[in-house]
Amino acid sequence: MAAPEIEHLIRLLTRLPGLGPRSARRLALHLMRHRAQLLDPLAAALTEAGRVLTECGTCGNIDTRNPCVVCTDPERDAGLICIVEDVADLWAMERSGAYRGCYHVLGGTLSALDGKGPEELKIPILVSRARESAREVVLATSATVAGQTTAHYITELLAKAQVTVTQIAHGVPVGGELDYLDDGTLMAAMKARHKV
Amino acid sequence: MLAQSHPGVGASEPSDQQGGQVGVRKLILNNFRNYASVELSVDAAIVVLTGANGAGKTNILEALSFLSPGRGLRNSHLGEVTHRVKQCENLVQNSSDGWSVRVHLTNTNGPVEIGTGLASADRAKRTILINDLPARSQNDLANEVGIVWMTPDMDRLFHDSSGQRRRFLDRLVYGFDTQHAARITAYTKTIRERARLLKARRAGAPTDTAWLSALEDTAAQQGIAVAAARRDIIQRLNGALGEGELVDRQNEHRQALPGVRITLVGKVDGWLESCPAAEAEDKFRTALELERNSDAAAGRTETGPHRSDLETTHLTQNCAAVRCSTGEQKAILLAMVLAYAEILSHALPASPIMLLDEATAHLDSRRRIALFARLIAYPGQVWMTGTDLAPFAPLSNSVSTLTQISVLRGPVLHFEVEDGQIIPISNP
Ligand SMILES: Nc1ncnc2c1ncn2[C@@H]1O[C@H](COP(=O)(O)OP(=O)(O)O)[C@@H](O)[C@H]1O
Ligand SMILES: [Mg+2]
Ligand SMILES: [Zn+2]
Repeated sequence: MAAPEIEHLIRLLTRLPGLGPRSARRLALHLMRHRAQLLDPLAAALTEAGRVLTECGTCGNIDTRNPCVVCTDPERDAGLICIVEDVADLWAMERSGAYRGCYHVLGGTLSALDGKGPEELKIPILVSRARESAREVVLATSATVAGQTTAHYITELLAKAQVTVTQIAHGVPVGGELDYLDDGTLMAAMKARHKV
Repeated sequence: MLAQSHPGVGASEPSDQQGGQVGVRKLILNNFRNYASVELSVDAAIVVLTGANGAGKTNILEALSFLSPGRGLRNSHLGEVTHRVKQCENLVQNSSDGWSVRVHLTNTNGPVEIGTGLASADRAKRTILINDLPARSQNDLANEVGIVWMTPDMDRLFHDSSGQRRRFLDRLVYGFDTQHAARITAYTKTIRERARLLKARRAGAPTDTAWLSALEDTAAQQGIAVAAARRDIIQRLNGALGEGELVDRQNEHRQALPGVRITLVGKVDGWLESCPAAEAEDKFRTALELERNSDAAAGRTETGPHRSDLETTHLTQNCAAVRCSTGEQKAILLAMVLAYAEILSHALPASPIMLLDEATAHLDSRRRIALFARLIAYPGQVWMTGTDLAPFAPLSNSVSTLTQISVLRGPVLHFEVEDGQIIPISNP
């Protein structure tokens, strides 16, 4: 049995996504064994991050400033808003370098059962922002049922606000072989076919 | 998304199998139910397990049922499966608290080794190894072997709730279409979301109609896909069951198993009967929109595939299954299971392995012989259980009437199950 402080650390680590009790114990031990190289700098980094992190009031991105670096970047097209479910999706989009507009991070999908309504997803903010400044809103929610229901909802609201809405294509991944795709993906790809 | 037909299913021709070659060759259980450890070699087309009540016959079939995705034929919590040992009258969990099933089987690609089990009792998911490589998902099992089972639990099917019958049907659909489960989950969740919004609205919360219609759109898409997949299976089943009727006139042994017709009854199913899926989707969406108030008042969703019911008719008697005798019902179930195995044979590279638990119970000798004749003609492996050996005698009796119908494809193997032991019985 470890000291209460260590038990507390292990319990907190278990709450991290993907960590079971066993790996949490291993991780705690590893941190304690590498105190100078890991434990102390990590503790400092966590404290600092906790002090400066904030959510962007415009787009929902997590950053050290509000409005965030994306929203304040003069090089970006402010008339283009891409809707993603999560900050991780925003990062993925940024890594690809495929997009130079702004974002709206929903922070999830609509779910009446989990108490996630339009307010929680900051959709009213999105609608007024889109109405004021957007030429085009790009839906990039995931191709899950919840993601698509949410996309459907936003489309309906924005259609009323007379904003152009587009959706990223769903279908065959680049480098993917047709033979390995499931029916749903193939059907989506066939539906989204275009003239070449 | 509309599921018209499922690519892959029906596309491949059943391969020209050598009788009895595809099947389980060896079964090794560790810490499984009442077996501490047992190994069984079965180079046979038909395997018969007999033994007293509670001997562990069903447990063997359950072990084999773990060769298909899901929680096996008992639908058990996986931790429950771990072998418990008697200690002072109490059953306690064994010290190494996982279990494993290992199977050597032959399929159309040759020999395959499948291992599955729980590494420890607190795991939520079972591990699956195919030729020693971890499977990406449970669905990978379906690429190796098909499994079809019938248990005494199913005897209640015709008297059970319509929900049980839908679950029975949906399980049949999973065998063809691994995405069916995901669609049902998505549909059910969407309907519950809508119900929650309607309830809030009834309690006075402001209505977000755009949210409601987004949910109804999703529900209509997923719901019609669910209904279409069910309909597809029923059509195939009726095809196979109807063929049985035709052969009846020439084959007295077939005759003893009844002609059966299955119908899916429900509003949504009626739409699919009379119009294309896209139109049925529109009708369903409109119905949901129109029924918002009445659904909210009733506290349930009036229209949808979650309200459909399966109706089964004994054609030979022209009688609803629920009003048939116990033995006739058993014969109907058997006819359905055989038809299912047959249509699955056309969709898979090989005929599925059939697990028939207590299948001969309630059957008179004429129907029993008809069943055996069908099983001998069946190209896949069959596992059967029963309390007594005598009813199975026609199977191994070489001068029985059966051999006049079809030549045995491989030996029939008998095992006596007794208290966690399995003893081969030599055939005459
Ligand atoms: N986890 C377990 N550990 C030990 N015994 C078990 C376990 N689960 C079930 N059993 C025992 O297995 C026996 C039932 O075996 P079963 O295969 O259903 O019998 P039958 O031969 O009648 O089909 C029962 O006696 C039951 O107590
Ligand atoms: Mg049993
Ligand atoms: Zn921002």
